[in-house]
Amino acid sequence: MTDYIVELDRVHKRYGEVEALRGVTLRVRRGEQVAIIGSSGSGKSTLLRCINHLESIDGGSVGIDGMILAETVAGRVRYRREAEIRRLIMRTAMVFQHFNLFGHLTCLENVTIAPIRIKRENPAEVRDRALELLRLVGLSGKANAYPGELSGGQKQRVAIARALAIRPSILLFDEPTSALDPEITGEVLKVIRQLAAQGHSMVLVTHEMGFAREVADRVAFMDDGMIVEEGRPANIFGHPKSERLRLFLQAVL
Amino acid sequence: MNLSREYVLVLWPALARGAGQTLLIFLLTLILSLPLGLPVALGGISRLWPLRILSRVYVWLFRGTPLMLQLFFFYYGLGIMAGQYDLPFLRLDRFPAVIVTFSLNYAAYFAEIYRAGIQSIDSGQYEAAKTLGFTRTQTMFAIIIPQTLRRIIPPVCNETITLVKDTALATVIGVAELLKAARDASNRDTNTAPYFLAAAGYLAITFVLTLVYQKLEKRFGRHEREAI
Ligand SMILES: Nc1ncnc2c1ncn2[C@@H]1O[C@H](COP(=O)(O)OP(=O)(O)OP(=O)(O)O)[C@@H](O)[C@H]1O
Ligand SMILES: [Mg+2]
Repeated sequence: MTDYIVELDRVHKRYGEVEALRGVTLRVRRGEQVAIIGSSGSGKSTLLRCINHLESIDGGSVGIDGMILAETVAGRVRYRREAEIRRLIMRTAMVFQHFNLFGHLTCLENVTIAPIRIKRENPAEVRDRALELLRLVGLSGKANAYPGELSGGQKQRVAIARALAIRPSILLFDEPTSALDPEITGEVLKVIRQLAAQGHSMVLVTHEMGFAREVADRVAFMDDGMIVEEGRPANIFGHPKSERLRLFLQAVL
Repeated sequence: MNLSREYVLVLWPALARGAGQTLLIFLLTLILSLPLGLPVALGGISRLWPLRILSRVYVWLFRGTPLMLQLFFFYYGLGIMAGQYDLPFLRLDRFPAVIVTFSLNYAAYFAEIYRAGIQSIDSGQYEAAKTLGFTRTQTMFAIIIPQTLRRIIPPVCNETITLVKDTALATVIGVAELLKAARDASNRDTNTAPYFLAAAGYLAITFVLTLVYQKLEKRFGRHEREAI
């Protein structure tokens, strides 16, 4: 077993004519928090979605928890069989920009459905754990509410609890606060901060530079489908080496 | 027109029997076509192209031709084929012919409603389910279909109101439902009253259905404002 939970090696991804990823290499260690920054359209979401097979890659390789999800052999990408892919991607869990909670289920059911129906764990134990997770994200009182009755910030916190419920090795956040009003992003960031402090591995795509700087061990800057620069937050934000990163920081800070 | 108490009492047994047949056609058709529409809908969005073609052709045939023609085909047409090819099982009695025709026909309409409902669900729901380890089938039955219920109830209800009136088509192959009972009485007595009574019968059925559907929509509309 390697120390890397996620290993992307020279990953390519095309959407028709658009080359969304042009040879991206990224490794995430157990317990590490990696933030990905970059302008709109630079490929941040695509990178995240290639990790958990929401998109199939067109070249390179993807590894999760030391096992190969997809690799390129003799110029052809080969994925594992469907059932194995499913088992592997369950070691990751994603938090989406638009929450994607299941509207017909209560908050509690949103959190318990995957462990009970998919992982076939003991329902009573799962329930206890789910209530604990809802408490962790500050929503004990909303267990029996439906997503439609919650604010955006509350929805996103339920989504985080749902992601944690499958006990993933790594959390993938795709701009978890971008769909929220500024005054409530704080409540979601607080939860993520807490998870980072507990040592949860994560890849966090974000436009919140201050937050990236604060929680990340490492920051990767993407531009035009490539990771142009990566390093410690202090270096990335304090001493950018490339011109493109300097321009980007000037524009957003 | 004679709408006297005595005459209505004379008509009543035949019309009540007719209304009973109408209700029976209605209920049996729903019981068969509502579930049958689901595999047709799922076939229409399957990843396997032969299933897609099969489903689309089915829907096209049954929605694209008159229900009365289909009724003639399943009653007279199959009867003729049964004789010509010596396949006696193809011969359907009047009532089964109506149920088979209506069920197949309405399954096509329901399938289109289901399909539209399923396709109206945000792709984020599929993605979230996939990242949690759901298979496509599990996603469909545990996540997608339950969420389409609320959206398909109004169009399905509309369709069933149409079905109440379509049951009258069974008259053309001589099934003794409400309209036939009224026509027979009207012809026999040279009186328009039976038609009015039959109309009242259809109105009563659709009125009750409307009430039931209002309840149903309330119930399913309860917790889901736009969720995502
Ligand atoms: N499903 C798709 N079909 C076609 N092109 C796509 C698709 N998804 C992404 N792209 C393109 O791929 C490129 C990278 O997109 P991506 O969504 O990864 O960017 P991003 O860095 O996440 O941007 P943002 O900050 O706006 O979310 C863009 O040019 C985008 O238009
Ligand atoms: Mg994005």
